[in-house]
Amino acid sequence: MRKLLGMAALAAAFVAGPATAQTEIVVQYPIPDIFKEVHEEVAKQFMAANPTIKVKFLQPTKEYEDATQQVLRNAVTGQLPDVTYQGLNRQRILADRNIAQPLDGLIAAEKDWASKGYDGALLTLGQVKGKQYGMGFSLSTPIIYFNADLVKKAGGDPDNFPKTWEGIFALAKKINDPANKIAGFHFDWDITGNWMWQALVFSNGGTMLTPDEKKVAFDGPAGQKAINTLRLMMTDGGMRDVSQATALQDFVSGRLGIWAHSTSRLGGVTKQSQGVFPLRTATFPLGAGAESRLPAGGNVAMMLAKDPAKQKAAWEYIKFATGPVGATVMVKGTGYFPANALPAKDPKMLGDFYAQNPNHRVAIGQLPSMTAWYAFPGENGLKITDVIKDHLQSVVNGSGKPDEVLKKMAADTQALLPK
Amino acid sequence: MIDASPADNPGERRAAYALISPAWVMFVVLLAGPSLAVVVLSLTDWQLGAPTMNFIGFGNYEQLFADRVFWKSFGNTFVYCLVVVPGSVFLGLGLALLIEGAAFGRAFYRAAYFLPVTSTLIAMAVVWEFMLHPSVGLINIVLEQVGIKGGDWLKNPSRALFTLAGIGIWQSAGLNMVLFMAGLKAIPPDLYEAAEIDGASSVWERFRCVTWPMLGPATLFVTVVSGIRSFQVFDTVEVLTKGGPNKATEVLLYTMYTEAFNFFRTGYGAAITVVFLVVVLALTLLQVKAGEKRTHYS
Repeated sequence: MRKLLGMAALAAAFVAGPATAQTEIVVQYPIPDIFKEVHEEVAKQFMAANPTIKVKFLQPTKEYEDATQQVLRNAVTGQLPDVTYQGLNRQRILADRNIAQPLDGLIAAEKDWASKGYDGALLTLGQVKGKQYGMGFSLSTPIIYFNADLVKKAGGDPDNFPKTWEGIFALAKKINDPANKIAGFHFDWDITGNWMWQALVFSNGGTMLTPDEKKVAFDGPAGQKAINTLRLMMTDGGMRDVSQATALQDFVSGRLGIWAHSTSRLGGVTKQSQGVFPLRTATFPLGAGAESRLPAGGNVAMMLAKDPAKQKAAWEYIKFATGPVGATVMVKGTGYFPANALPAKDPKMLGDFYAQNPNHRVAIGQLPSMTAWYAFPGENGLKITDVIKDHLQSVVNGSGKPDEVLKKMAADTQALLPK
Repeated sequence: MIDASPADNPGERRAAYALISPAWVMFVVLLAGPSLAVVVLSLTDWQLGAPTMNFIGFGNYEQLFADRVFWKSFGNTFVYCLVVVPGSVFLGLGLALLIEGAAFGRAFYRAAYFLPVTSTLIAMAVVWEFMLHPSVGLINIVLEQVGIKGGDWLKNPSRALFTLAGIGIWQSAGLNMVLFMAGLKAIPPDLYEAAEIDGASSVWERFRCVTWPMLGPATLFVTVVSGIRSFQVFDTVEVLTKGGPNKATEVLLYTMYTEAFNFFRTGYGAAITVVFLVVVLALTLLQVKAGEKRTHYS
C-alpha cells in the first residue's frame, strides 16, 4: 500500500513536470485502526488530482484525546500540522486557544458554494460560537444494533423492532439467559465526552446547559427521564455493569441480543458478525417526537496553517476530503456517514451502496434530528465530562438513586462552569 | 596560618570546580531545572496550548486541598502502599530464604520469580486483564472449580484497589527477593556457627538472632524503595481501571496525568506533581536519616 502510494506520488510528480513549486501540507489524524486506509486512499486521489500539492501524514494518534493533546503540544513548540482531524467535541478547545483558523473567509470566496453539498445543518456541527472551524469528515450517530436470531427466538419481529425503551427492555428480558451466558441488552453509557448521556437527554428534548451557557439544564424533565431510563436499563433491561470492550466481544460472538452504540463500529461489526448471526440495526428511541435530537459523533477537518500559501493548499485538501470523492472512500471503508449530501444522491458514488446496505441507511434516516456533540465551556470543560461520568456510574452500579444523583451531578457541574 | 589548605589555593579551587561542573550541569539540566519549572507552573493558571499565563499564587493548592478527588486519590495511594510494601517485602524475604535454603534448582527459581520485574508492566497488565475477565478469565474459572464465585475484580469498587495491589506485589516481590539475597550473601557464616555454640539451635532462633538483625540495612533499603515504587503506581491503573469505578482506584500519578493531559489543566497538574515530589523526598530523607543511625550494624 505504502509502496503503491509512493509510486502514485512519484507518477503525479512526473505528470506535473519538473517540480513546479510544490506545496507540502502536513496532516494529522486519529484512530488509525478505522481510518488509516481511508486517509491514505483519499490523499492518493487528491494528489493525483492536484499535482502541485503534496500531502504528508504525521504518525496517527490512537484516540481523539491524544490527537488534541498532540496539537496542543505542537502549539507550544511551534510545529503545528497544517490540517488536523479532531473529534467534534474537541473543536472548542482549539478554537478558544486561537490555534485553529476560522474558515468563513474561504467559504465566502467560493463560487457556487450552495451547490457543493454542504447542507446548513451539517455545517453547524463544525461551528464554534457562530464561526466555522471544522468541516465534517466522518459523522456517526447512536443507533441500536441487534442480533436478529436472538430477537426472533425471543418472539420479537426483526422487521418491526420496538421504537421505545419500554419495548426494548421487554424484548431484552426475554432474550436474557444467564445460564447459557446470553445477555439481553447493553447500552454503552460511558462512551467518551458523555456522548450517550447527551443522546438520552437530547432524545427527550433536553439540553446540557441553558442557551446562554450559564446554568445547568440537564436537571429538567428531559434529564430526569434520561437518568431514570439509564436506571431502568439495569432493573428492567437486565443490563450488566460491564465495560465497552466486554459488550463488544459479547455482541460480535452472538452472546448479546441488543446493543446501543455508535454507528462508527458498523463497518467492523458487519464484517465480524458475518457467518455468526444476521446483524440488523434500528433507530435510537426518540422520546420527544419532533423535539428529539441526537448528538453527532465523529470528526471534522480543521485548518491550523497560518501561511496563506499553505492555507490555500490545505483548503483544497479539506474540500476534497470532505467532498463527494473523499466521502465515498470514507463511507465504504467505515460505518460513518458523510457530512456532504451529494454522494448519497449519486448511484455511482454512494446511492447504490445505501440501497444495498439497509443497516447503514438507518443512520441516514436519523439525520434530521442531528445536533452538535456538546462541549462544556471554560477551563473545566473536560473535567465536567469526567464528573458526569462518575455520577452516571453510580446509577449504573445501583449505589445512588437516580433523582438524587441527578441533583448532585447538576450541582457539581454548576460549580465547575465559568462564573 | 602558614599552611594553606588546598581549598584556599585558587588554582586548585578552579580545578575542583571544573571537575564537578559536568555533574552540576547534568543536575541542573535534568533534575533541578525541570523540578523548578514544575514548581513555577504550579503557581500559574496555564493550560496546555493556551496563549496566556497568569500567576495565581497558591490558588491551585487551595483548590487542590478542597478537591474531593485529590484526597480520594491521596488516600488510595497510601492504602495501595500499605498493602504492597509489607506484602512485597515479606514475600521477597520469604522467597529469598526459601531459595537460598533450597537443595537444587536455585537458578531456576531465581529467574522465575525475577521475570515479572523484567517484563513490561503495560504488557503484563493486559495479560492480567484477560486473567481477571469476570466470565471467561482464568482466575474466576479456577475459583469456580473449587466452588467460589469470583465476581468482577476490577469493577467492584471495594475490591478493585486491592486487585491492583495484588498485581503490584506480584510485580515487585522479585526485585525485593534479589536485594534480600544479596543481603543474605553478605552475612558471614561464622556468625551462624557462633550462634549455634551459644545455643540457638532451631531455624527460627537462628533467623531471629542472626539473619533478621544482619538484614537490617537491606530491609530498610528494600522497604523505602518499595514505598517509592508503589507510590509511583500508574501503568496498571491506566490499562485496567482508568481510576474507576467511581475513583475507587484513582491514584496520585493518575490524577496528575488526567488533570494535566486529559483536562489540560497544566498548572493544576503541576501542583499535584509538587505534592508527589514532596512525599517522595520525605521518604528518601527518612531512609538517609534511619540509615545513618544503623551504620554501626555492618
